[in-house]
Amino acid sequence: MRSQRSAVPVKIRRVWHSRLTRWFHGRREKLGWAAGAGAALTVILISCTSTSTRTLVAPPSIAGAEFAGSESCETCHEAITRDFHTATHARLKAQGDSEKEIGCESCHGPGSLHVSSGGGARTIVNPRKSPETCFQCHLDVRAQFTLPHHHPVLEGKMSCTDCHDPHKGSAMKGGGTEVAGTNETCFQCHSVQRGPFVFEHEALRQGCNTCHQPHGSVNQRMLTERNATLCLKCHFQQQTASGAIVIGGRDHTGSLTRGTCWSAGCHEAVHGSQISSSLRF
Amino acid sequence: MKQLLAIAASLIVLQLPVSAGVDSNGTKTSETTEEDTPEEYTNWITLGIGGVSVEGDAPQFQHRHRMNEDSFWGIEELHWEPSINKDVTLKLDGRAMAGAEDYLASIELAYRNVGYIKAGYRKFRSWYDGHGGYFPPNDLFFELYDNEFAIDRGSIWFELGLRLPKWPEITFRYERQWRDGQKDSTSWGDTGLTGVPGSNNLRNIVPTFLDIDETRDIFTIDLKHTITKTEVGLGLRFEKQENDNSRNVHRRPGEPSQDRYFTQNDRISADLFSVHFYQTTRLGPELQFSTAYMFTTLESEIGGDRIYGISYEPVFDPVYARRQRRDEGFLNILGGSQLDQHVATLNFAWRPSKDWVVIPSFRYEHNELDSFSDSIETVVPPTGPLVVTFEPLEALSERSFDAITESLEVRYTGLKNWNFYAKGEWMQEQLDQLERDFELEEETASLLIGRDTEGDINTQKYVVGANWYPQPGVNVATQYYKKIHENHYDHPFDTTPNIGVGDRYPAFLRDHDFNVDDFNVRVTWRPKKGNITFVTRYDFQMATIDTRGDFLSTVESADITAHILSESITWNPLPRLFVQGALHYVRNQTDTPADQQVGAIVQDMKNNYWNGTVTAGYALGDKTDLQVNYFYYRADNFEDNSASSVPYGSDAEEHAITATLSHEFTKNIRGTLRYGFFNNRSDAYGGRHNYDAHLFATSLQYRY
Repeated sequence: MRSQRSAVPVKIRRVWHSRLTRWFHGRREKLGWAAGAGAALTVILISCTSTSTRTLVAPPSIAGAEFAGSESCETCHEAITRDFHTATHARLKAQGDSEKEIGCESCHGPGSLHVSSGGGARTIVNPRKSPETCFQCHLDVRAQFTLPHHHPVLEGKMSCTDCHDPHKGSAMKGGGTEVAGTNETCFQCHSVQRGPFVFEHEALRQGCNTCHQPHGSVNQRMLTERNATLCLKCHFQQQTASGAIVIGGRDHTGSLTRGTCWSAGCHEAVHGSQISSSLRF
Repeated sequence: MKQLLAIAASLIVLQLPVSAGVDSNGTKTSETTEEDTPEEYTNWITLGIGGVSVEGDAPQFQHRHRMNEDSFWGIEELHWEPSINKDVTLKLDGRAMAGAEDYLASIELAYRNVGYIKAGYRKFRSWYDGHGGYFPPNDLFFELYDNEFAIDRGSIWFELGLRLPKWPEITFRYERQWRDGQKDSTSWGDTGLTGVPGSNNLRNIVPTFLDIDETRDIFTIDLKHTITKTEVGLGLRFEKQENDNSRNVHRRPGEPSQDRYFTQNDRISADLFSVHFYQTTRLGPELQFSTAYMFTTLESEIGGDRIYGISYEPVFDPVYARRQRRDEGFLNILGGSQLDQHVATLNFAWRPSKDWVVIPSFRYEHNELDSFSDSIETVVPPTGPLVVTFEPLEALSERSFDAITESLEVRYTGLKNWNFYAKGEWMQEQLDQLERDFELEEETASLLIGRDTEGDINTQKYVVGANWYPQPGVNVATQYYKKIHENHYDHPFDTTPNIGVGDRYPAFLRDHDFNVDDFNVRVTWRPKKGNITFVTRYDFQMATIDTRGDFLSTVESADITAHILSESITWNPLPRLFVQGALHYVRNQTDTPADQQVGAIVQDMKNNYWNGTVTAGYALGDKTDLQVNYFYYRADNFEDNSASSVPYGSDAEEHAITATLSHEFTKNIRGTLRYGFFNNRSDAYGGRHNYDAHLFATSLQYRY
C-alpha cells in the first residue's frame, strides 16, 4: 500500500547546494581565472621539467599488446568461439591477410598480454564495461547515446550486451526466430508496459521502437516524435473535407490545438487500457 | 563545506589523482589510457569525493548528465580478490557513492569442480526534471512544485551454481528488483491562461508527474547437461510482480472554478511462470542443430481509480464543485488477465565448406490472452448540471494468435578478404480478437462497444551486405535492409457503422502497411604510418506508412527519412599523446499529411541535430597524465506554432568540457583531480532549462 503522497512533492537536498552555490557564484570569475591559470601553470611546469617515454593509447586498446589471433582465444573461451559462426557479428570475418585483425581482437583489443599473463586483470578490453568498442563501428549509435534523452549506457548503468548478443545468434536479443519475443528485451526493465491490457494498443505488437528510439533521442521519453505526428503517422486517414483532421469519424482539429493526443484526458493510456477501447485512460 | 574545499585545495597542491571517471559527455572514461601491463596488484580501492555547483535549472542538469547537483563521496570502486588456494576463489566488488546514490556490493565464492555462490546488491538513481511545456507568446511556464524528481532502480540477488564434473550444471537464482520514486510525464495538463483569443485557447503545457512503486521477485532454476554431442537444458522461471503507480495531473492551475487535479492509480500484480527446454547437437564443426520449447503462463490482477478533486490523490467527492464536462473517471476497478504462450524453435547452422555458412531457422508461437475489468465510471453528462453519475462497466477481451517465422541466412567468404551475406526473414500471423465494453444495469448488460477482429499480419525482412578488407587496416562495410510489414484487419462484428457521421472506432482501421529501407556504409582506414585511424559512416533510413480506414482509400500517413553522417578519428601523433574526435550530423524528419490539412496545428516533426566530441590524453611525465574532453551539441528544430498549437521542436545548444589530471604517487597509489564545466541554452523553453554547472571531483586509488 503506497503511503499518502503530499500535495506537493517534497523539496530535499538543498542546503549544501545553496551554500556552495552562493559561495561559488560570488567568486566565480576570479575562481575560474585562478583555476585556469593554476592548471595551465601546473601542466607547463610538469611537461617542461619531465621527459617521458611512456605510451598513452586511446580507449579501447591495450598498450604494449599485439594481435595474437583468434585461435589463442579458443583455448580458454571455447564455449564462445565454437558458436561464433552463428552470430550476426560473424559477418565481419573474412579469409585473407587481414583476418588476424578482425577476429576476437577487433572488439577485445590485441590479446598478447592477456594470453601471456594467463588472463590477467586489465589485459583485455571488456566491451561490457565500456561501449567504446561497439562505437568503433556503430558511430550512429554513439551519437544517439549522447542525446539529451538516452539509456544510461555511457554512464555505465547499462551495457550494450543487455540488449544485444555479440557472440551467438542474432545480435538483437529477442524477435525473429529467437525464443523470446521482440519486446521482451524492453520488458526486462519496463515490465508495466507489458500489461496485459483489456484493450491493447496495436502499436506494441509492431514493436516498442515504433514510438521509441531505443538508444537515445532529442525528445523526452526517447520518443521518435514529440508532437502529434507520433500518433498521426499511423492514425492519419484519408480526409474528405479540407481544413480538418478527422480520425475515426470524429473531427480532432480542435483537440490537436492543445498539443499531443496523449495529454490530459484524451488518449492517455498509450500502451493499453483496462477500461477504454479508445485508450482514453 | 570548508572541509570539502580544504580537501580539494590540498589535492590541487599535491597534483593528485586519476582513475576512471566521467568525461564532459557523461561517458565513463577508461583507465586503459594509462599504459597497462599485467599487474602484480589484483586488488584495489578507489575513494572519491566531489561536488557540482549549478546556476540555473539544476533538475535539468541532473537529468541531462545523470549526476546530482550536490556533493558526492564514497567508494568509487572496490575490488578484492584474495589468494586462498588453487581451488577456491573469492571476489568482492563494491561501490558506495553517497549523494550520487550509486551503490553496488557483490560477492562471488567459487570452488573449482564444485560450484559457486554469488550474491549482490545494486542501486542507482536517475534524475528527472519535472517541468512541463512552455508557451512563448506570453512567456507562460508553470512551476508547480520542486522539479527535482528521481527514480531509484535497484536489485538484490543470490545465485547458487553446482558444477560437479559429469553432473548436470545446476543454477538457482533469486532476484528482487525494484523501481521507486517520481518522474515527469509527457502527458501534460491544460491551461487557459495563454492569452490566445477565441475558443481554442487551451494548451497542454502544465507539468504532471508519475509516482512509481514497482517490485519484481524472480526465481529461476536452470539445468544444463552435455551427453556426448548433445547439450540439453531445462529452465524454470517464476516471477511475481507488484506495481502501484499513479499519474498526477493538475488542470487549469490558477484559473478560478477550473483549477482542479486528478490522480489515476494503476495497480497490477502478476504471477508469471515459464518453463523452457532446449537441446543443441553438434555433429562436428560443420553442422549443429538446436530445438527449443517454452511455455509461459501469466496471471494478473488489476486495481485502481481515477479521481478528480482538490489536490493530488483526492478522496472521491460526488459533488466536487469544479468538476467539468469531460472530467470522467472511474472507481474500484477490478479485473485481470490470463495469458498462455507456447513457443517452439528449430535452428540449424551448417558449414558445407569452409567458405559457406548456411543458417536456416524456424519459430512458431501460439498465444492466448483473456482479460476483463469491472469498474464504476464517474460520468459527467454532456448537458445540464455538472453532477456526476455512476455507470457500472464491464470490459473484456479475448485474443489469440498463431505466428510462424522462418529465416535463412547465407554467408560466403570464398573470395579472399571478402564476406558476403544475405538474410531473409518471413513471418505470418493470424490474429483473432474479441473486444466488448458493457454498461451493467441491475439485471442486464447493454453493449456499448463491440469489435471482433480477424487479422492477417505478414512481415518480410531482408538484409544483404558485404565486408571487404582490401588491405590490412582498411575495411569497407556496406549493408542494405528492407522490411515490409503488412497488417490487414477484417471485422466480422462491429457495433459502430463505419460510414456516415459519428465515431467509427473501434473497428475502423483495415490496412496498415509499413515499408522500411535502410542503407549504411562504413569505411575504416588505418594507414600503415601515422598511428591514425579514420572511421566514416553514413546511414540512410526511409520509412513509409500506408493506412486505410473503412470505406476510405489508402493514404500515405507518414514518410520518415533520416540521414546520419558520422566521422571518427583516433590519432597518436606522439607516444605520449592521443587525440580522439567524433562528429555526427543527423537530419531526421517525420512528414504526415496533417500539416497540409490544418497548417501549423500539426507540424512535421524534425529531429535534426549535430554533435561532436574531442578527447586528448597527454603524458605530462612518467607519472602524470592529463586528459581533456570537449563536447558540443546543437539541435535547432524549434518553429513557433503557438498561435495554432503547442510548439514541441527542440532548440538547444550545449558545451561541456572536462579536464582530468592523474598522477601516480607510488607504484600502488594513484589519484585524479577533475574539473568540468557544463553549459546548456534552450530557447525553446524561454531559457527555463538553461544552466551553467561546475564539477570538481577527486579520487585516490590504492592497489594492493
